[in-house]
Amino acid sequence: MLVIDDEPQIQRLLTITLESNGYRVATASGGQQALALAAQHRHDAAILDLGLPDLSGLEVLKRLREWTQLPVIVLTVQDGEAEKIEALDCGADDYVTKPFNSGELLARLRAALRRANKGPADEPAFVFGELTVDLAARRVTRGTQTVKMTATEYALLRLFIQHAGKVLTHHQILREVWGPNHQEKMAYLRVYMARLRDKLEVNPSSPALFLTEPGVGYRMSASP
Amino acid sequence: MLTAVAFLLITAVNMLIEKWLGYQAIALIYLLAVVVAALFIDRGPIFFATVLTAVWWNFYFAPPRFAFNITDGYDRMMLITYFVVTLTVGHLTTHLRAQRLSEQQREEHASALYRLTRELAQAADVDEIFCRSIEKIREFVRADVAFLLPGVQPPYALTPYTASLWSPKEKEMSIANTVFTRNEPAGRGTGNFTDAEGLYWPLCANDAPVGVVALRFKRSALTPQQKSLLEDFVPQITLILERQRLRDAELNNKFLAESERLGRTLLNSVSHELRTPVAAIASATSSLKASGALTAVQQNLTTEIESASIRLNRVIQSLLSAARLKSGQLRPKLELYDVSDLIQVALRNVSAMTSAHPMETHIAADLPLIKADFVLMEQTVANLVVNAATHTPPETPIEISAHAENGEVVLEVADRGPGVPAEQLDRIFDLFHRAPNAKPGGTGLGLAIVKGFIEVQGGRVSAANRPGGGAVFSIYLPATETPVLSEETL
Repeated sequence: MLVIDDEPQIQRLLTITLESNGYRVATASGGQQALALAAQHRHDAAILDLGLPDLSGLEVLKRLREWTQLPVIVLTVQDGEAEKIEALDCGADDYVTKPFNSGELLARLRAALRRANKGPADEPAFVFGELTVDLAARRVTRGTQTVKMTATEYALLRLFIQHAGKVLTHHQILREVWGPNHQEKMAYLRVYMARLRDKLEVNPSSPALFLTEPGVGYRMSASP
Repeated sequence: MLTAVAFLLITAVNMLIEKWLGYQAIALIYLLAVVVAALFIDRGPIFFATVLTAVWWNFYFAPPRFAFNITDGYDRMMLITYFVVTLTVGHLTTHLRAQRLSEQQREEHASALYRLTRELAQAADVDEIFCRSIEKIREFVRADVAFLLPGVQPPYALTPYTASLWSPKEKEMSIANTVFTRNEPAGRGTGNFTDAEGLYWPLCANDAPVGVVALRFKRSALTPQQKSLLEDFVPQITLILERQRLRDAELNNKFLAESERLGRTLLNSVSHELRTPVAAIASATSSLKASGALTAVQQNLTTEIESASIRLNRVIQSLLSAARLKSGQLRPKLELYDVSDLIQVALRNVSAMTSAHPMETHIAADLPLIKADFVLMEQTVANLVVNAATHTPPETPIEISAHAENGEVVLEVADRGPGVPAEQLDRIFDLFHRAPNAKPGGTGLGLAIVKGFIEVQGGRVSAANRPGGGAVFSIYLPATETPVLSEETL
């Protein structure tokens, strides 16, 4: 595990948390050092603080992505929505906002590692509580009832299932579902998300499946 | 006068020497005298002297004596020549003198203007330009000078510049105001308000008035030369003044940009230095709790540390938000959002602080989307909910509702607490305002941030008391059009 943070305190904290959960940790306090370390040893994942003194965290991420699909979780400040989005669009796997909850960080890390090991989801069915999505038959059922869906709704749902547990930015979703020329149609996305929740959530006003990532995008919960 | 005495003297001498030279030479002496006099006196007096001497010569010297008729042809010829020569010479010398005088005046004028321009160009700032202008105008026009300049704030009333040499009385100021608005001179020596104490001249840059020059004369009003000088002075002063002002404004902008950059750097570093330790505390306690190795007491203590650090983090966040709002560095990133989504996220984030209150949400069906900055909106709703939770007794419900009304989306957070005293309602959104009956806790920042955040997003806020007790805080944001989607289901 590679921890990249310029703050010794956060670095120590991350090391303690990760080591107590059985990960081996290497630390870097600057971008150049991080890139060197990442090239020297094989790491399973990296935790990257976006605010670094030498190279910006985004730059480190871009350079890493030039040659490796190493799962990267970025650490961001509370109101850094713009940098979160940019990091995700540059290929970060997930983000955690400081002050982070260690349980949340570990969960995100485990999910990222799982996705990295498994490769893209290719299971024929997705199950979440009462909800079953049969990707082969393009059928969505809730309990015993079939849920009727429009083509766009289904495309959106399939995208989420492919990236279950991973946060998707608005732009990523718009590009995948509506195509690259419709990246500004935020209103569509909002309306369709409301519809998906209406049709698939047990309690649409308190969603458990389609979670809103404030100012960034949406994440589909992988397990209830 | 001197000329008259000179002519009398010459006449007396002529009378004495006539018997030796003869009367015709006398005419030549007169001619000589008149031509010499023409060097000093103007056309009119020369004509007068010519006529007088000619008549006298004719009457006294020319034969027949003591009579006006001339019999000799030669004498007649002499008289005519005398007139023609003196009048021509008189005319020429007068013309020459006038030309020299006007040239001299032009030169004076030009040199005055040059000196003024040079003086003003050397001035380092606007104040110095004013001071030097006052000094120069006083020197050239010999009057007390005042600059009347409009104020910086409405109603932009004209006030005398500090270094002015006099200040017009109230009645005179109204003349100055007229001059300022009409952009033409008035007061003594002009066509308007001739009985005024001073003369008021507009300062005008690019056809827009920028001030008024007021002159108070000790004795007489302006001579035409002074007036024309003033006519040239004033645009020159305005020009230099405007140039200096532009230069100052540019400098000021540079300074502002620099101070803004500094402020941002400071804010960022303070924000980083405050947040990092709090983040470490919060994260460490969460790890401790999750480790499962704590006794019940330790678990409780850890929970206390955790909630304290969360609270501290919120305070830091509020302070930074307030600082950003105050410094005008908040640039909202407006996107379309679903109100119910927003409320739900906000409630989830503050759930730890509001657990003592039952939450009720009522969101109207088909509520339009709003154009807002999600982070700001989330903090706004969170602030309102935490505010309600802090100021109301435990177990009283907090109601969050949203509906559309007159093209706006109205988001309300209502409680069943003691409400807000009526006289406090207007000021409750002010920075650091705390209601006198407020319970301890809270920074006085929360509602000010709510107002600031909503206003930068183009909305407005209001507070009221509810019928049946409690307060309600409302947010109004412009509604957007929800796209109509029609699509067949699979």
